[in-house]
Amino acid sequence: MGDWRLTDPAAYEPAPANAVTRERKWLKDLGPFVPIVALGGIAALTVDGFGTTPNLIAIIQASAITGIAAIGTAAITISGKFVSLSIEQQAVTSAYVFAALYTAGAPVLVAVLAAFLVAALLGLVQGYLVSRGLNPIVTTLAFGSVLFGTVVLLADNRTITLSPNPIAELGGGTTFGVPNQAIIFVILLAAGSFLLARTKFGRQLVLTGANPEAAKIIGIPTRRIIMIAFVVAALAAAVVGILVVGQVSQAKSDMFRGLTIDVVAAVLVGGIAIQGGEGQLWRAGYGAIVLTMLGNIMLLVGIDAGTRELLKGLLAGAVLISMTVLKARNR
Amino acid sequence: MKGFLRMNTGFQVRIAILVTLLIGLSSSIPGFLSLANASSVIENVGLIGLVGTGIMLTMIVGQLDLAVASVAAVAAIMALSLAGDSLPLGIVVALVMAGLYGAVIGYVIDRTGVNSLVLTVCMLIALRGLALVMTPDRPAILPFEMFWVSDGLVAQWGPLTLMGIICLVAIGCVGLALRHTKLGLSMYAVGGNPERARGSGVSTARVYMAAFAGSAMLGAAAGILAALRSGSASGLGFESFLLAGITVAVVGGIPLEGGRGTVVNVLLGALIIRLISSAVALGGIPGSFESIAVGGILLAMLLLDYGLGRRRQSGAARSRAAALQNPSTHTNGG
Repeated sequence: MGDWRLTDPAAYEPAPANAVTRERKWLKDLGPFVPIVALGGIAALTVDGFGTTPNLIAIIQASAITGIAAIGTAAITISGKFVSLSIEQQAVTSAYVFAALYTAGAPVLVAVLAAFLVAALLGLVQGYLVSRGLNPIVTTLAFGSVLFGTVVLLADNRTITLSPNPIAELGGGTTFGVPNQAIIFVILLAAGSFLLARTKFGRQLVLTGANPEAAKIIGIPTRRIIMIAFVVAALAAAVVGILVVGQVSQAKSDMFRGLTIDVVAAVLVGGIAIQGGEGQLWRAGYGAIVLTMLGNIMLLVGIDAGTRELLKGLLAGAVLISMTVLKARNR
Repeated sequence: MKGFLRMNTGFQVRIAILVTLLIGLSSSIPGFLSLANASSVIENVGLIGLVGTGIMLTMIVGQLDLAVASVAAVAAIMALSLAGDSLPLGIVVALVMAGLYGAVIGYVIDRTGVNSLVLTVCMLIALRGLALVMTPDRPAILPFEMFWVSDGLVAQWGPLTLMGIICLVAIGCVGLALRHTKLGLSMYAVGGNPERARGSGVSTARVYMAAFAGSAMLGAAAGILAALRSGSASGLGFESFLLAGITVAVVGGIPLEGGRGTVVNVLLGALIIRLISSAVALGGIPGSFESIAVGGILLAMLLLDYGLGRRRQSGAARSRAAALQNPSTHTNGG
């Protein structure tokens, strides 16, 4: 059946179509960057104080916290389990574990490792529940509520202040003029993207999200993959918790108010397909930078906090709807 | 029939929890059985029941609305801001706006197939921003000469308050509408199996629009009532509505897969949750214990329903497997 196609001129018909898709793919890869570059360019020319080095560094620093948490959460999204709604509580828990252990006299390294260990365990429990088929949104919402209550109860709702603060340099300092938080953000972004694109785990994660049944049939341990995704998200939240303790020298129960929502918005604006199986981890970081940059521009132009939130939500909604519509059309 | 019995296992467990709570709390906490406490529990059951009923509507059609708290804030601020001119007008405008907003959301979900959970998270952010824009300097407050409304709402009539009555009547109306109207029945049909419902001529657009409009309006009503009771509405307020609403729906036994659930479930869930809260308030237990208890009971109910669902599934799978295996075991044995 296929032989005549080789000699038939019609056989060449698919070629232009291929070229178009390749061109489209190229466009698709660079597409997300067009708005941010355009926006940045326009803002640099028209908004006073936007294009200055200190301001740009401030943007990267401000997006680092949301960005780091978003990179981890994106692992959950790509695995097909939407998002975690306990990011805030995870970060607070890690902050408290670290601060409490350090003020109790533990060495810095031990305190940091303990915070990571606790975070990983909590992530593992949630991942286990979700991998067994529980709804991720409601499970993490409930888990976050229990976690927050427990931490506040154990800490007696006190603020723990670190003096001296051993990681002040890590959380608030700069290296060659670049904030350390931003450096860690970029390193984690690179590491996460490598993990997803170049390792077996990354490919298994994507396949688990794209088609869990097929993934199971070809022997991917989908449950374990989902658990690892939740542990990754919890560890990213722990990094955030420790960095902010370093920055502000204290652990407080309301120190991460609104982080979960910011992270979800970053994941959406970055363009990670919420149904899973697609997207790269860097997109979450990218989403965080876009949102922070927009917020920064609006702040400089004098738009109030409420309007900034309003536009942020509408932007996330617009990206979500256009992605869904485009996807339906491509199919 | 078997399915019905098993569905009741979950219901029975919930009733057992409720009875245990009632007996335990009334015997251990002095003042728990007072009329004042009863009216406060019922009033708050009504309030979070209102929010939970809205979320239930979206759960029945197989979706989930996460924006209720922000809708409540915007509606409450809108109603109080207009109260200076006319309070009834403010309430009507706020409710109509909420209904229109919900209908648009439902329409978008039907047309684009976008994930409702995520779309409503975006709306949660956007409407919270709108609420802040509407209260730039200070919270919206009820004009002084309207304070009699607050007093009237919480005036005690035996174990009831006017506010409790309004909430319960509204919840009851939704329950009746779900059971006895064509739209209500088609909501269950769409939640059970959207494709089949569409095939049999149900307009999914109408059903989604009704569910999200209902959810937004009930959330708005709860926000307005809470704001009238306290006399003010701040741009950052009502945040607890989201967790409370989802908790009462799930704790009451409404499955997340859609297609099932009644207002009885919501009231049951709301009662369990409010009894715990009232025990925390009366018993001098640290407030953080409340979020542990509420989150814990939500997790426990999720696990319970998951276990029951699995048993149902594996039971069905086992009988299917047995039917398939029987001939082969025969040949193997022979």
